[in-house]
Order: sequence, then C-alpha cells, then structure tokens
Amino acid sequence: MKRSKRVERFNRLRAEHSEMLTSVLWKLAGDREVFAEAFQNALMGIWEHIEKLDDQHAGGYIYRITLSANSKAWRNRLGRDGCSDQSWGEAEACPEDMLDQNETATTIRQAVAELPTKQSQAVALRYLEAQDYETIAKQMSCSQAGARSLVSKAIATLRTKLESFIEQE
Amino acid sequence: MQDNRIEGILKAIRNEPVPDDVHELATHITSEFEQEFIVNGLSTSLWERVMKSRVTRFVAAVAAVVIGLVGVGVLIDESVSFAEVVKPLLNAGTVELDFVVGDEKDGPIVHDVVVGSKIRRTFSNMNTVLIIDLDAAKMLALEPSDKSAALVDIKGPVEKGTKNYLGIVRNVLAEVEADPNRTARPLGEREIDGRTAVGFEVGGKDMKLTIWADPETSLAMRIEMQYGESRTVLKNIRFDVDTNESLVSMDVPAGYTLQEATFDMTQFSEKDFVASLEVFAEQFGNGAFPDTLSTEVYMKQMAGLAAKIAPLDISVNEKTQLGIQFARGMLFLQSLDHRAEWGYTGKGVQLGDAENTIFWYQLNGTKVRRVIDGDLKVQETAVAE
Repeated sequence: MKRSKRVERFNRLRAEHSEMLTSVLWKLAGDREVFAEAFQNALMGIWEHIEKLDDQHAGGYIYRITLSANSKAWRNRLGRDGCSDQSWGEAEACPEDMLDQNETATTIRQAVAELPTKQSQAVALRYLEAQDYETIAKQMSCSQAGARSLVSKAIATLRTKLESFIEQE
Repeated sequence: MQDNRIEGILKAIRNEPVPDDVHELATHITSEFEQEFIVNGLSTSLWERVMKSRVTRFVAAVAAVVIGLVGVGVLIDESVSFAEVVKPLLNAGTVELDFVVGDEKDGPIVHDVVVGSKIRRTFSNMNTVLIIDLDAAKMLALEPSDKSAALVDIKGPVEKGTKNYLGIVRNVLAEVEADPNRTARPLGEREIDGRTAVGFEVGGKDMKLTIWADPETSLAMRIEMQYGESRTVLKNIRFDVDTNESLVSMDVPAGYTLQEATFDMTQFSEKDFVASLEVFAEQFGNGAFPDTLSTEVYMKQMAGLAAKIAPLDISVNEKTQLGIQFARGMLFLQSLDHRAEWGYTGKGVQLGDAENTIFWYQLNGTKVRRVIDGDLKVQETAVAE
C-alpha cells in the first residue's frame, strides 16, 4: 500500500475511533501516565496494522489493538517501577476490608491488563462497554455460549488474582 | 473477594467520565504522533523511546528551560530615545508578545505573558510551559504531557544577565529618556500585517533597536533587536492585557508532580561548551561541526535533542548529563556575548581534526585566547599587544 494511502486510511480510522480509544483506554488505565503510554501504543498499533484494517473489520481489530496497547503500558509500568504506589504494591499491603474503592479499581485494572487477550476483550466489552452477549459474540466471532464462558473465566481469574494479593498480606 | 464486588467495581469504572484534560492529552499525543512519526518519519523504535522514556522527557524539559533563558543574557549600556512610543512600553502593567530568535521564518515562536517581574513563557515547538520569576531567580517548568514539574535555579551568572525581552527594551528606553542628547532616527512608514506603522531606530554599541509603532495610538507593534550577529523580533505586542495572576504563579498546579531533582543551571563552563560541540558533531552533523554557531543554532537543535539522545547506548544518568551539558554549553556561549570576544570557524571541520581550530574566545581584560581545535582539545595562547 502506498504511503499516502496508509496515511489517508490512518487519519480516517483514527478520527472514527478516537473517542472509543480515549474512553476505553482511560477506563482501563485510570492513570494519566499509563493512559498516555497506552494511547501511544494504540496509535502505533493502528499504524503498523493499517493494511489489515479494512472497513468491515476495523472496529473489532482496533478494539483488540487497544486492549493490547493497554496491557503493554501496564507491563511497562510494572517493569519500570516494580510495585509502584498505585499498583500491586499498594493492594498487597492492604487487607480486603482496608482497600478503598479506588485502590481496588486500580488493582482490577491491572489484573484486566494481565488477562489473556480474549478474556480481557470479553470482560471489557461486557462490563466497560455494557454490551450484551449477542454483540460480544459477534464482535469476537464466537458463539454466545463462548462469550459467556470467556466472561466467566475472566471474572474467575480476576477473583483468583485479587484473593492471592490479599492472602499474601 | 466476591464476584459481584468485582463486577460492581467494573461497572463503576464504566461510569467514570473521561476528564477534560485526558481528552486534551489524547489530542496532544495524536498530534505529536502524526507530526513526528508520520510526517517526519521517525522510526518505530525511536518514537517509542522518545515518547515513553522518562529520561528523554527530563532532557526535553531541561532543553525547554534553557530556551527560556535564550536572549536574556544581553546587557545594554547605550541607547537613545523617543517619547511617544516609549511611554506605553515603559508603563504597561502587563504585556503579551511573541518573539522569534534568529530567522523569523524558521525559528520557533515564543509567547511571553509579562506581569511585573514574572513571565509565563510558551513555545511553538514544544508543550513545556515556563513560569519565570526574575526577582526570585527561579523558574518553574511544567510539562503538560506527563504532568511533571521542575524547579530551576537561575541564580549566579545566569541571573546577572537575566532580563526578559521587554525588560531589555525598557532598559534601553529608560536610559534614552535620561539622556537628552540621544535621539531616535525616524525610518518613515511601512505596512505591517495590513496596518501602517511608523519606525524609529535607536542604537548603541551592543544593540540596535528598531521599533515600529501605530501612528495613531503610539503603541509599539513590532520591535527588532539586533545584537552582534544575533537578531530577535518581538511582535503581536499587546499592552495592559487583562491577565489572571495565576498564570504566573510559581505554585505547582494541582495534578502535577514536582520532580525531586532541582535543575541547577547556575553553573556552566568551557567543559560544558566543549561537550556541546561534540554533541553537535556526533548527533546533528554526522561527524562534522555546524556551519555556524549561535544561540539560534542551539535553539533549533534543542527540540530534537531528546530524540537524538534516547537511543544512545549509555546509562540514564549519562543521558541526562549529556542533555544538561548541551544546555549549559549554550549558556556558556551566550555568556560570552557580553564578557568576551569570540569566533567560530568550525564550518567543514570534522570531529577529531586536530589541525583545524573551530572556536576561540578571549575574555575581556585578558591577554590570552582560549582556542578549541577539531579534536576538542583546548589550548591557551598569548595575544600580542
């Protein structure tokens, strides 16, 4: 694909999906530094995969790119800071009843970022986008039962992760 | 933890609105991505490093801070006068203006909001905001992209020469007013931005000022400052603007994190200058020194410095030091403007060339000349009477 065509397609897709990118990444990051890095990752991901993003499938593909961008940003956060004051370290240091809503939200955000891609996509679509299972199934190209299963597994994984932090304390 | 609690928190996250500044941050990142990555063709790895590395942001902040000092080291000791245009320039409580150092077409535009002894300074080529308190000799650098703030100490040699551009003009005009023997040379009329302007030229040993003013209001529209080989243009000047004091507050804004380290730009030396010459050759010149050397040349490279340093295979601390040394190198050169004679002869010389001199300077009142060759060795030679 010619560069001018790539640029044209990138600009169009970026404009069409910028609201979704901002909204989803902010919900998943909840932190400006992570958000900024994830947003940069997402733009990069769209640019690198621009040839695959035809109009018919662009939405779902960009959503996966977005989730992947978020996971990478969270990994970098941990890699740079280890247990930073707004990540696992803080949650680990607090028993469940001491975790306030914000701390738990941060912990859950990070746990979502560590989920397998399909599970994170399913849980994000279900809870952060409030989609029904029919829509989720369509977007993820699977059956509704498959979508329910992915969401259930994701919640179970999140619970296990969160409990392990509390137990460590 | 119960599943319904996890679900409840996820739903709460869903209902959180996106703050306005996050929308702005997204717009800013998109703009930078399109400019640097798509238009300028920055490589993937370099873009990632530039945007994500804390150290490059740190260095960029230092670079921006130093640009904040550009041109403020000029000392004025001679000038002439013309009353109608002088009065508002001297008496305005607040002034907003744009200035361009060097080539007006290519140079980055700097916007100043001057409130008494404080300046809020922003740039066309970077997002950093500087709040400069000339009385306290302090500078607060704010980086909106990552909400970081840094305090800069500008005491010492920098402070001595520190003025804002408007301050420099005011100094000239105040001295002119006090000397009845000095007059401005009228330049007649010209059109500026579709409006008629009348011009005056005043000059002294170190600086020539050309002021273009509205003939009806006597308010200055454009001021051209020529000092040595350097040129700065002040334009879009507005007097007594209704300005919110908080714009020049030295308090760290809510949501910003103050860097633990305080940048010390008070000390600069020949060693920093030599290091900056090496950066020019290695990072910007493919081994060759630049054709010319001036504050403007440093300024043009400053915005791209972080991108150049990021991929170097050196430690974070070394990268930081390199950025600071480059900035200090510029300050050293700037300081020579009013305390030495100097010359640059580096055009066409390669780094490592011991046969050719690239720079010399002679401090006022001394009889020795410091000479820097292409291999960056410094020698001292006696100057004949």
